[in-house]
Amino acid sequence: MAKKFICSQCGQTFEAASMPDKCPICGADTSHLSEVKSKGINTNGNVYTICYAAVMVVLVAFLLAFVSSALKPAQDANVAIDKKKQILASLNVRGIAKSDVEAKFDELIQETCVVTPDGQVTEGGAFEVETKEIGEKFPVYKAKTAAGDEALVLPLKGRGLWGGLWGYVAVTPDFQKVLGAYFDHESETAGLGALIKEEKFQSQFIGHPVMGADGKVALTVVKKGASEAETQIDGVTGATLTSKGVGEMVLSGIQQYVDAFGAAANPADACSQSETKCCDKPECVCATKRGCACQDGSCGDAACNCASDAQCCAKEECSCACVKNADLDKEQ
Amino acid sequence: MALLSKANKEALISPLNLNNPVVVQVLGICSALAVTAQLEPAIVMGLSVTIITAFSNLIISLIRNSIPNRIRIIVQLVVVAALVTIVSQVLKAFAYDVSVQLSVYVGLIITNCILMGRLEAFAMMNKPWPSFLDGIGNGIGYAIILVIVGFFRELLGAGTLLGFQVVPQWCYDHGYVNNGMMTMPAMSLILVGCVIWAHRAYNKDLQ
Repeated sequence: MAKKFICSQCGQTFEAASMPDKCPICGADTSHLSEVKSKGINTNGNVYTICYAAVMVVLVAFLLAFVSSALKPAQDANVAIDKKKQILASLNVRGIAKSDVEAKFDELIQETCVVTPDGQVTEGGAFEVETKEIGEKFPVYKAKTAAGDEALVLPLKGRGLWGGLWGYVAVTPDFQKVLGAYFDHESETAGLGALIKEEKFQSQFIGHPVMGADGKVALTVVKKGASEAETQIDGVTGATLTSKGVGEMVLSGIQQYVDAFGAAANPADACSQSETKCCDKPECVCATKRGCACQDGSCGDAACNCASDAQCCAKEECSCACVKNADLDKEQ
Repeated sequence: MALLSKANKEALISPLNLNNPVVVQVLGICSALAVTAQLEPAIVMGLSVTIITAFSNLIISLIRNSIPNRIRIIVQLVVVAALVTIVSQVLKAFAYDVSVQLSVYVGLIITNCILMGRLEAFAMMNKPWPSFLDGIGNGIGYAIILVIVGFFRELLGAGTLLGFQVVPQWCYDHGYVNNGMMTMPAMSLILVGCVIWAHRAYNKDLQ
C-alpha cells in the first residue's frame, strides 16, 4: 500500500511505497521528508467542521476575556495617569516621569468642582467627568501653574478633521488670560493635524488674552500668518481643518464655561463657595445673571411677577437659581 | 533535526532580502504607508508585526493537521485576531504612550496581508519550528522596510529622528525648509517605490 510523504523544503506531498532517498519534487534529502499518517477522523466532514469552529470560538473567547480582565486594572491606571499628565501639561508641567505624576497632580490641583449649564455648582468630582460628558456638565480644576499663578483648568472637547479633539486650557480665575494649554486628538493626520499635540503649537497660547473687545470669548485659531488680533493664534500649516477644529473648540468651549459661571460672578469664588453664600452678599450678581437681588427678599426677576423669593422660586419658569438654593437650604 | 539547519536558516534569512514581504512579495503596503511618518511608531509597528507573525505561524502550524480545509481562512483569522487583541491590550497596559501613538494601526495588523499570506503559504504546510522562524524572518523583513521609510520621512519631513532634532538650526537659518510632502502618505508610496527600485537594481535576478 502506498504511503503518503511530505517534504518540508518544498511543502509538497507525494505517495510512495516506502521512504525514498530524496524528494521526487525538489530533490531534498531524507531529513526533510516525513510520513503523513492517515487520520482516524475525517477533517473535512460537516460535523467535525462545526464542532471545530464552536470549540475554537469558545476557547478564544475565554482567553480574551481572561486577558482583558487581568490587564484591566493596569490599563485603567494608565488612562488615569495619562489624563492627569494632560492636565499637568496645561499647567506647563511637561515631561515628568510617570511615577511623579500623581504627586505633582495632588500638589498643584487644589480643588475641583462641576458646574451645570444653569450655574449649579457641585464640589469635587471633576476628575470623574468623562470627556464626552462635557457640555452637559463642566468640570473645573482650581490649580496653580508651574510658575505658581492661580489658574482654572477647563477641559474642552471638539471635533477635528477625522475624529474627536479634546484639550485642557488653563486660564486666570477671571477668564482674562491663557496660562497654558494642552490639546490631543483621536486620529488626526500624523505629521500634520497631529502636530496640535506638540508643545510647539500649544505653547503659542500662553499669555494671550481670552476675551475680545465685546467682552465675549474671542480666543481662536486662524491660518498661520493671518493673525490680526492678540486673541488669534497661528494654526498648523497643512492642517487647516484640524486647526479650525481647535479654534472652534477653544472659542465655543470657553464661552460655555463663561456662560455657566456667569460672566459677572467671580468664577474662583463660584468654584469654592456654594451659590447660597454668593447670594448672601449684597454686591453679588447671581450666576444666572437675571439680576435677582437676594438680600432684600423681593424677587428681581421681572418676568416672575411675584412678591417674595419663596413664591417666585416655586414656579417652574422662574430662573432665580440662587434663591432656589437658598430656600432649599433653609428648609433643610 | 538541527535547530538551524539549512532549510530553517533559509526560512529565517530569505524574507530579509531576496524574498522580502514588502519589496518582493509586495504585501503589507497599506500599513507601511500609514505609520511611517515618524521613526518610533514604525519601529514599534515592525516589532508588533514580528511578534504576531511569529506566534500566529507557530500556532497555525501546530494545529495545521486538525484544521478543516473549508474553514481554514476563518481559523487563521481567528488566531490572528486573538493575538492582535492580546498584543494591543498588553501595549495598553504596559506601554500606554506607544499604544496611543499607534492608535488604530495595532488593530489593523489583523488585515495585514503578510500575516495571511505567510499562514496560507508556509505555516499550513510546515512544522512549527520552521514556521516560527519564517514568521520572525518576514516580520523583520517588513520592519526593515518600515524603518527605512520612516527614517527618511522623519528626517526630511520634520528634521528629527526619534523626536530628536538632527538637522541643525544653522541649515534652517540658511534657507533649508522641511519637506512637508514627506509627511503625506503619498510620499511613502514613492519612497517604497524607490526602495524597490534600489533593491531590484542590486539583485539582478529579481528583474
